[in-house]
Amino acid sequence: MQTDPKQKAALLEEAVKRVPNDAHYLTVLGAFRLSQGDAQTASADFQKAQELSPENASAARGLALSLLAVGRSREASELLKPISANAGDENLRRLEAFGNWLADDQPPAQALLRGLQLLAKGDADLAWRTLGELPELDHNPTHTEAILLATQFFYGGAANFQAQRFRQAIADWREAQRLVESHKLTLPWQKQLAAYYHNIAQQTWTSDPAQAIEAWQAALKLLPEDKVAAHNLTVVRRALAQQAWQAGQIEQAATIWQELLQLKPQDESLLQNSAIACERLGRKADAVNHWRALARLWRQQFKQLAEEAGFKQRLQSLEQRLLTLMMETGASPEELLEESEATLKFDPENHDLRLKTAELLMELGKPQRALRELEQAERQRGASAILLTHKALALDMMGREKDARKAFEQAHAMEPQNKTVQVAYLGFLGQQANEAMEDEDDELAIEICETQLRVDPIYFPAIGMLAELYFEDGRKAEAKALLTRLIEADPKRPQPYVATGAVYLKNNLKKDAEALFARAIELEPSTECFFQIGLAYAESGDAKGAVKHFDRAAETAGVEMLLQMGMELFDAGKPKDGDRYINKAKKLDPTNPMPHFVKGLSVIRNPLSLIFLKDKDRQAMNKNFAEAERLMEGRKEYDSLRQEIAKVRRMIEGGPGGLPPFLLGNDDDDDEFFFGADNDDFDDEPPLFGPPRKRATKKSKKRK
Amino acid sequence: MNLPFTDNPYKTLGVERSASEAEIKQSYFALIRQHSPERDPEGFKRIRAAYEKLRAGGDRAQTDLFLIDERFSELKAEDLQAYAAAPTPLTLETINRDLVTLEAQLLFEEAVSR
Repeated sequence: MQTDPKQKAALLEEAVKRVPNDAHYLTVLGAFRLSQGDAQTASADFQKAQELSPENASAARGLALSLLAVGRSREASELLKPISANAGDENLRRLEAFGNWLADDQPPAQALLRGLQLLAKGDADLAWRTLGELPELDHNPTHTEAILLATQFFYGGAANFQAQRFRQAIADWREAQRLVESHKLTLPWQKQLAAYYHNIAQQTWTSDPAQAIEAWQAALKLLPEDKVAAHNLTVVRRALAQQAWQAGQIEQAATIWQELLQLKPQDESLLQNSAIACERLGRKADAVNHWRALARLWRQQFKQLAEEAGFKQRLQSLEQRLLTLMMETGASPEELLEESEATLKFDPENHDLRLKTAELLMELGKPQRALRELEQAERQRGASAILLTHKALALDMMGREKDARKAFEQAHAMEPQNKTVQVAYLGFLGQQANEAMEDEDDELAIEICETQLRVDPIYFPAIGMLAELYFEDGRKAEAKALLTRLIEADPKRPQPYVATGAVYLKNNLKKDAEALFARAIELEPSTECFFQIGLAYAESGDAKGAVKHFDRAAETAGVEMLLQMGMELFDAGKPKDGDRYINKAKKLDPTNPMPHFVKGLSVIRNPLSLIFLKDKDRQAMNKNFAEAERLMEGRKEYDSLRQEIAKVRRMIEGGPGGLPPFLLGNDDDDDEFFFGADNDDFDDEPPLFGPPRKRATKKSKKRK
Repeated sequence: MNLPFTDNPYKTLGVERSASEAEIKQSYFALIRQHSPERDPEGFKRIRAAYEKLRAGGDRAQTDLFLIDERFSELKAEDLQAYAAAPTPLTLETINRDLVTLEAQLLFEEAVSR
């Protein structure tokens, strides 16, 4: 159906023109015209319809209505009386009552008409009470009933409005509106509602801002394009938010600002206030969203406002804050990169940010792009030690190792004391040394280690590796001199003694090692010290020496250390001693599933044992796993452990073919398997105590 | 003698957010004359702290970024827009007009659906 009234009228007129003697079309046209306020023409339509069909009740009803519209109510009443009596039609009866009410000024039976009469007379209180008498319905209202009910609610609201009961008025109108929406009605009084809401808001914004807000919100719901309501609502709510902020009600202020942002998502002030409030409330993720939106807006304005005092600095501050916050909230490198690249577009001279961008690109595995950024930075500001270090890292990632080394050398030459440069350069050289050892190129490995020691004369991984190489080449005196240098550099701490002792142990210089261990204990008889000495013994294959020192460590060790020692002893073929530590760990933390898991696993640490796994061992393993699973129940932090147990069980069922690498002895990360990646105590960093075990293992495998 | 200090350094120095460096400096000097370290050490400290945040070479941009925009805290009539229409007065005539329109609509809907 057409919605435009003019079009609708034209169509109806055309229909009447084509079938001029049809009373029905004339009635429809008349009713439409009357609903549009054209009573005169409508009256002629109805009259003609009635002439054509004298028994047509609808035409009579229309005619009566057009008479009522022009104030000829008595005539309308007379006209309706005989028809309504015969027809028994509810519509006609209602219309007759309406006509009688207007003609006689008598109190009608219907609450709606009585209420309206009172309202017209200005008795708002009584009108409100009368209009409150709603008809009793035992069913969902029909279309007609909904129209009448909604109208009654509307005028009830109007009565409340007249009596200054604004809240009740709004409640009545809300009911009226609900009926209008649910029955998809278009009623004549609807267009008045907005004026009422605005009037209430204007009367109450100083005394009762909450009431004004409710009224403007209702107006806005009615007409979402109502700009006055939207503007005023924003102004008042904004002021309330400011007042809340000043009163220390941060949560309330933040809520209002964020709600207002729904209406004005591009409002800089709202974005900034919301971001600050969210930061104050510790809602960093929300703050990031607001800062990001603000940064986007400011970037768009950059060309126009670049010359405005402080604008560029404010934008830089914002970007800096945003990136920091994004990193704190764990934003992905992709998001960080997107943000920093967007900033670089308007701030291409931002050197630090360009370096950061290059770093992110490397993190995302894009060394070529990183290198391009670094080269641009170099063109802008020249080379610096840090920039060259970044370049070296990118080149290394690209496989251009010679270029990388050259860049590292330049960086180091530029700032020999720069720790960042040193750490990156030493790491790179360490990797090169490992590769040389894997290639059995001792000469190159020695050259690299010596370079490392020129960068840092007491860099332990280099000293450890070099000493071992010297020992292997029979250059005992040089090896010892090197290790002595390590001790002399830091003679008051136990670490160099233990580290040196571990190398001696491996190279069958037990007495020398014992002397150094004794000195270390003398300096610091700590749990960690005993543990590391025990570890050195375990790794050199001296289980007895390991137990001796582990026992001392176990007196005060925590669960993780106890487990580590237990596993070392299982590996060293000392299961009874290993059990002692596992049992101690169980006692120390009875809720920890790890000791049970490690104990369960101990029966199959040797792959051969899987083939000959005895029923007794299998039962013991299952019992321990079951206990671990019981302790893990409902604890999400042990999800990965749960999966590992399931994996081990599957492998037991599948036989040795399904063994994981750690059981076959060719996995370097078995510590991680047991303790997870978060365990700082057992990670792969160069150890403070003891030699780098990984490197020693590789060497023993790869070298002749 | 104490001033009603706030966390907002602009308010503490009594200048607008858009104040130039010269205006900030001028206001700062005027204030420390009144609140010298000897007479009002606490006041002097806060004026000094506010000035540090805004002075040339300081990080005014950072300060600005974390200051709530307080331009809208006071509710004024002139900030509000007036709605063009007032509610129609409820007279017998207006009510009658509404009811006739409503009845005409009902009649139209009924006739159309027939």
